[in-house]
Amino acid sequence: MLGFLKKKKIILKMPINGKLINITEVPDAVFSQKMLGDGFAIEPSEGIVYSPINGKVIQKFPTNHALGLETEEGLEILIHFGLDTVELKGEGFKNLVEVGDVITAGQALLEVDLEFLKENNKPSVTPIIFTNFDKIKKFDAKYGEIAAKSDCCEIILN
Amino acid sequence: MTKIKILSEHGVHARPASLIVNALLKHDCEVNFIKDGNKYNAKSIMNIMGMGLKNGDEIELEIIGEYAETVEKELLDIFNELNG
Repeated sequence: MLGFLKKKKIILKMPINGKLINITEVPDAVFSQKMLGDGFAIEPSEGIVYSPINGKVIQKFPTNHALGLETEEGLEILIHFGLDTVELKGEGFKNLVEVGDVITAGQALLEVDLEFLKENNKPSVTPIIFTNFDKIKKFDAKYGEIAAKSDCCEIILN
Repeated sequence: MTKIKILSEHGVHARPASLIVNALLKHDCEVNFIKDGNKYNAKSIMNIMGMGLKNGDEIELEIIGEYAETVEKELLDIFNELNG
């Protein structure tokens, strides 16, 4: 596509009912030190993940606790539900999409049993990471309680 | 081609992937992991995590470019540590 026709701004929709917090507040260095990329995190009040974007599913993981999405503009977004949830080996997670699926903002992608996470002492705080961060000029997230599917972050692409 | 066997209980997910990618991004060479005939860019978090590497899986290593030996050694050290 011609460069000047490319969309430069993306508005993300809140993927989970809950509180949006700074990525640096996540109690796991792999996220708070941005080793996977920059982004933000959500303290969920409900166990349903909705797509924040129009795009497609590019990765799903055998343990279903994380999803990789790509926007129409090529920005990659990793939704990593909870911390150390890889250890649950898929229990408590129900994936509703497949790799290659075209998704629209607000579409349900993943169901999570928050009680099960709690019983297994896994924090539910969910980092939302831009893994190809070099595509981003800047992003501006709205911190605080936000309803799912509402605007939650504006991203300006390079 | 060098083969690597994954020997860590929870396989290669967020933390191991970040260690691998952050080490590789310091180098200019192209690095690919090959599993079941599919090639994955080892400098992409999303690609590595998407491989879904489990305990006992085996991958092949492909490094193209300068300092390939140094990079290979660095990678093997990381995997040894993860496998430890």
